[in-house]
Amino acid sequence: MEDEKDQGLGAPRDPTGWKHGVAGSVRDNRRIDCWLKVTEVGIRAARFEVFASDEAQRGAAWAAQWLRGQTVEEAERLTGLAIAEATGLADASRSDALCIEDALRAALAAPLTEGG
Amino acid sequence: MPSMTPYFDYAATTPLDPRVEEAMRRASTLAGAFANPSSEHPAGRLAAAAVEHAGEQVQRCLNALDYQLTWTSGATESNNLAILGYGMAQVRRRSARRRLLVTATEHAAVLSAAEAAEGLGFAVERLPVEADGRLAPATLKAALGDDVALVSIGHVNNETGVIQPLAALAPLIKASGARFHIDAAQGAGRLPLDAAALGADLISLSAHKFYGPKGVGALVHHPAVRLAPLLHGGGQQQGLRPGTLPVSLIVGQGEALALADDEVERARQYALREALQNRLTALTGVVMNGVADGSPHVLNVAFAGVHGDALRSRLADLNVSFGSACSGQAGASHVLRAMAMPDALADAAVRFSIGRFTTMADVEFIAERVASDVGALRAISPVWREMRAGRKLSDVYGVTTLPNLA
Repeated sequence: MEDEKDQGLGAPRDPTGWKHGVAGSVRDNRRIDCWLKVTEVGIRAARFEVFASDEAQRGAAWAAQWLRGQTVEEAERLTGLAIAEATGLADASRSDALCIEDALRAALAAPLTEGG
Repeated sequence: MPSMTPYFDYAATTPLDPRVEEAMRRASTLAGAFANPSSEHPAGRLAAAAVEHAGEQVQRCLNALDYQLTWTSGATESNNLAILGYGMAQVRRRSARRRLLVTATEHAAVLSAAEAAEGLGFAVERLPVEADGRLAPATLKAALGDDVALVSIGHVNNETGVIQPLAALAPLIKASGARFHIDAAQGAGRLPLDAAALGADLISLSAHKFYGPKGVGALVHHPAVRLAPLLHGGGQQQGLRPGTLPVSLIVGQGEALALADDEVERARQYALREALQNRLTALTGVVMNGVADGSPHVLNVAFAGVHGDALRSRLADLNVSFGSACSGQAGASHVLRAMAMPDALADAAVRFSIGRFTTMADVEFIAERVASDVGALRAISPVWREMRAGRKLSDVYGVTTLPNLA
């Protein structure tokens, strides 16, 4: 799922040592998962899994790129509104951006994933 | 003009068959049947004869030679005339039968007409279907009573291709004394339908569904059935549906039904549908909406782990349908909901409908494209990741009944 050209979408090949957060549900017809590789200096890699519209995919791809190299404190300040504005999401898709934010916050608060 | 990908939406509408087009062209010329068929001159009589011939073609196809026929603008009008026209006639006769039964999976033209009949004082009951989309005879029998005026059942469902067991249902309706309306828009010209054998009272047709022109349809009705007109004007069609008859369209409709698909064409379409189904189900996690012995022209499948909006965006350049092209409504299909399909899965359903001009190369093209796009969306889907890891479909989608995984 990861390769040089990818947009930061899809789960990491080996989730060991990543933080994983979930927002939304299938019942709500929208679920976004955030995966973060966090080191002492900040976020080394970010990925999103998206079961949502292509607008949500666009917002998640932007967030994955933006998060790379940010500190945890900077990542904590990223909001759904900022994602929506940066990617020009339509008003109808603002809730997708909020779901991305929720997934990010869940990942930041999550423990490291264990096992291979 | 953008280049066209193969057409897989024959359930929405069909192209005009060249033979039908030629018959219509001939009818439209000065030497043909262009005149007003109500005119009392030779040209008018020629046009009237053409209309009469087309009527016989339609009636013969349905084994309804003893029936009457009213030309309409299409199945929507035919369904409205059948339900509301019959309802109004019942009200005028002060009939005590004031219940209408419709299958929950009917086309909007039936459901909405039935709803409108509530304004005439009728109570409408939507009969639930089984998970496979069929109306169980026991369900119908339990709902029937001596207060039921009309039962409306579609021959073939427009979204799933499910064929209703009309032969098993018809005797129950007859025994109750209710009238029996069949919306045959999706099945006519594709599957045999014997009005006389079924004892059907009203049958709705739409020419553009069977390679005829758009803008014309018919309501075939038993002479014993009283109908009240919905439109008012001149005395054409015994005042039941006034307006100058569109002769070339009517000629086209008759010719189109005379060229109805035969056993060989049905077998060809079944083979194409099976080939498409096999290619798509190879993706795994594919839910069949409907039954294997449905109409040969419809394959409706849902792709688990794929988001409906995203799938629609990906497939936007393909001539496929998501739900019914006629509904024009967002949200999960009422047909799939009635079949107990969870919304998120129904939202990821695609209707592929094939027809007379579909080829195996078309099937291979569409299967390859859909496989590629479904694969791309599943690669980024947390739902699909969990299913691949062993989480059950019923658990993921929060349903107690497991959908029919192919």
